[in-house]
Amino acid sequence: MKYVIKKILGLIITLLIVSMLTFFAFELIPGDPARSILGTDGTLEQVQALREEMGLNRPLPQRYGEWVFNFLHGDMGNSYYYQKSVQDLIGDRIPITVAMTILSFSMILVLSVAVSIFSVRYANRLFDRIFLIVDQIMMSVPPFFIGIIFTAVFGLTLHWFTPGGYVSYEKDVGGFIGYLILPSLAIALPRAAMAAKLLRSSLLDEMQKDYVRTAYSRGNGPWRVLLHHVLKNGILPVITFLGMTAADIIANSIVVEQVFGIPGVGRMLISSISKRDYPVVEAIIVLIAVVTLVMNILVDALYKKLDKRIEVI
Amino acid sequence: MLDVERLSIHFEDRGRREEAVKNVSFQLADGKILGIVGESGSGKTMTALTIAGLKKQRAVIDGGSVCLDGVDLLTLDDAQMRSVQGARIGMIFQEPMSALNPTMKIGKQLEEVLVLHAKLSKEERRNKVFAAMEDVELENPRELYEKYPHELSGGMRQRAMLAAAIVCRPKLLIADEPTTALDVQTQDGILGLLKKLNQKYGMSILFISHNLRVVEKLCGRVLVMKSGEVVEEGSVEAIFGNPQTEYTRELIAAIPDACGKNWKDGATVEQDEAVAEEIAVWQGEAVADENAMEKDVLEPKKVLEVCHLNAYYREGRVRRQILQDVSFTLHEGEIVGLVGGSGSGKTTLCKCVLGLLKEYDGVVIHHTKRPQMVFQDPYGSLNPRKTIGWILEEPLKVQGGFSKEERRRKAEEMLERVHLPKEFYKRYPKELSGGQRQRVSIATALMTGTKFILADEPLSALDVTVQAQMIELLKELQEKEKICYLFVSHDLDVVHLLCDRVLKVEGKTVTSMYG
Repeated sequence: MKYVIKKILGLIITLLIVSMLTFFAFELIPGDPARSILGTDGTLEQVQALREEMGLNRPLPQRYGEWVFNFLHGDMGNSYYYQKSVQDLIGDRIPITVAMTILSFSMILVLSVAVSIFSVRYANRLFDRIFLIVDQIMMSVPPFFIGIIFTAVFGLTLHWFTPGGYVSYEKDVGGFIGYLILPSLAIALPRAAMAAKLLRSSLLDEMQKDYVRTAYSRGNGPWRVLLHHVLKNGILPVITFLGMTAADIIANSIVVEQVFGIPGVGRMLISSISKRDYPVVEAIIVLIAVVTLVMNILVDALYKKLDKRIEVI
Repeated sequence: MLDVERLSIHFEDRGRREEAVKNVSFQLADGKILGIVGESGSGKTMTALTIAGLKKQRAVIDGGSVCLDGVDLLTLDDAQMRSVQGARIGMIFQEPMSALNPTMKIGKQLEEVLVLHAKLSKEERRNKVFAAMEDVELENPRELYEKYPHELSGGMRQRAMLAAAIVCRPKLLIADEPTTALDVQTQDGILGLLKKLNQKYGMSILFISHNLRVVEKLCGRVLVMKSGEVVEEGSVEAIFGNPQTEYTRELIAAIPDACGKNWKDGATVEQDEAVAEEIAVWQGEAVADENAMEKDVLEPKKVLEVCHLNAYYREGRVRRQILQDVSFTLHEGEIVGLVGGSGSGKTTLCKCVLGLLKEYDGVVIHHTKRPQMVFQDPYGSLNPRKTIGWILEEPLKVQGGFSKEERRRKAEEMLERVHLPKEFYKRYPKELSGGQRQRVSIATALMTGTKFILADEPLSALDVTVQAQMIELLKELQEKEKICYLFVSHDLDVVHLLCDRVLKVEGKTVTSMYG
């Protein structure tokens, strides 16, 4: 119980620091929301008047304090640009990005585990050699580029999907997931390649351990040894890496959503930054931070579940 | 029952061919125990692993046969061999710490053999596992079933390994150095168990060891191997009473004999008795020695004084006392053994002496430079990426004030002092044998100019013959350079042979014996 309280306290403090840094960062970069609303035609007086109205002329700590206060009361403020509340604005976009993150994460997990197990089972044989080459290539290609290739090959040449033809989940859940498969895969491939490489060497290390010999001496076959004994031990060192991929997926989804024309949180973030729409940016960043932190806590918990030697501190 | 005929195996290592087992033949009858002894590299483990179908892929069988009840195991395919492994051949290994899967419950690991070889219901399997645990004298089987290996002591883990090996009642049990990593008392427990299982179930045992004393206690027949060949075979009485070859005589001579007699007389497997006897012998000799010691020792210089030491171990908020009111003094040129069962506080005492433990009160005074440590594992304790010269010079670099030439000269001198050729300066640890590496460890410790070395089981990873050479070196340094050793060991034979007196850690206190 004490452990849980400690973790939650840590989470709150981290969130405060992250939101504060974001708030102050916007103070430092050039650009002004009032100016971007009024456009280049607005006179200096008009800009000043709007800034006054939006409360931008008040001191920074006061504005930050107010934002935190409202946020804690469930009010994320209003978008400067869309004249809508931030909740409404990102509320129906969150499910899209969450679905894509989950899809992508599952792909990373399944791909890396399956491929690395085969590669360890047939270590130094043809499959393994081919895997190592392909893996190296996949690792070095950025997701947006894979996305472009996918669009060109599966969209424009093979016509498996219509590029930009996003299907809303409210209309057709099957079509929605179908449309998300390729972008999720584009995000997943480089990360899966990295995870597979780590997992492969970790599993190979485990294969040399004494308990593997013990397992063979009991009459286990090579597949059973891999799946029942080695996998659980070998995946331990890779869990931290898998935990970090959650944040990485969201970061990559920002670009990949652009490539595939998906109206997710990532696209919203980019457009809001360029419009200096602080309340929206602030809310999204806090959300990403929450996901990252929760993933970290889950990773810790998973470690302890898998390896009982790790003590609760 | 087991009939090995002219078995030959070689290794292929990047084109180099290395003969591991040459023309080895022997038989093991139903219900008998056969011991195979020899140094590491003699091919004994290779032979055992081949019989169990566990040889590495690099090892190639050149010829011969391994027949179990008339079936040649070498002709079986993988699937057929798997039906033999675990079911008809059980195996236990040297390292109970690493031979169990760390993330699998003990119960599941014991049950696995039954899952693979017997068609039983879950309930039946559990009951068989509990019965096997009782066979190996593990208490509270139901509780243990749910535990993980790290929650068990070394002895309990080896018992659990044994239970897994016998749960299918195999006709043949192969035990590869099963007691080497355990302390003496636990060793005897395991040996007793093997004998009991042998009698109770008529299970044949192939027992591999480099420890002749253990083999003598357990086995009916003995096979002596050297560089892949059988040198001598015979009954225990014949081998130990009337060895035919020079090599066997050497091996037997390498057994420290002071206790050897004692063990031979006792020859019981009951561990407590043996230990008690041993201690009685020391105490007896101690009285006799006391007078002699008082005469010829003119109060040598002190190296370490420990006065009224209380040491604690902190576990969260709870502070547990490990040592209570411990006082002793070490002098120059003295070899002092530190013995005690696992968990008795040996390590805590060492940490206090080294200054690695903060939770203590009392006084620890050093009269020489900081003590240096020599560790058990000569493979793990030297940095594999650095040359021997670099390793030797490191303490001088830390001290500072030596030129490059001076450091090199000192390192080469040191190599000579521990009887290693100067050329080793440029070599890497992996090019050295275990004994040579341990010499390097001692040399590194001496580089600081300290007169006090704390050695934690420095010999237990080495072969008997190499051990004898190391003991010679330690004694030579003691006599010539007045080095003082605090020698931590559970091998009572070596302690007896090497040490002038013994500190025994037991029940939070330390008693000094033999002087």
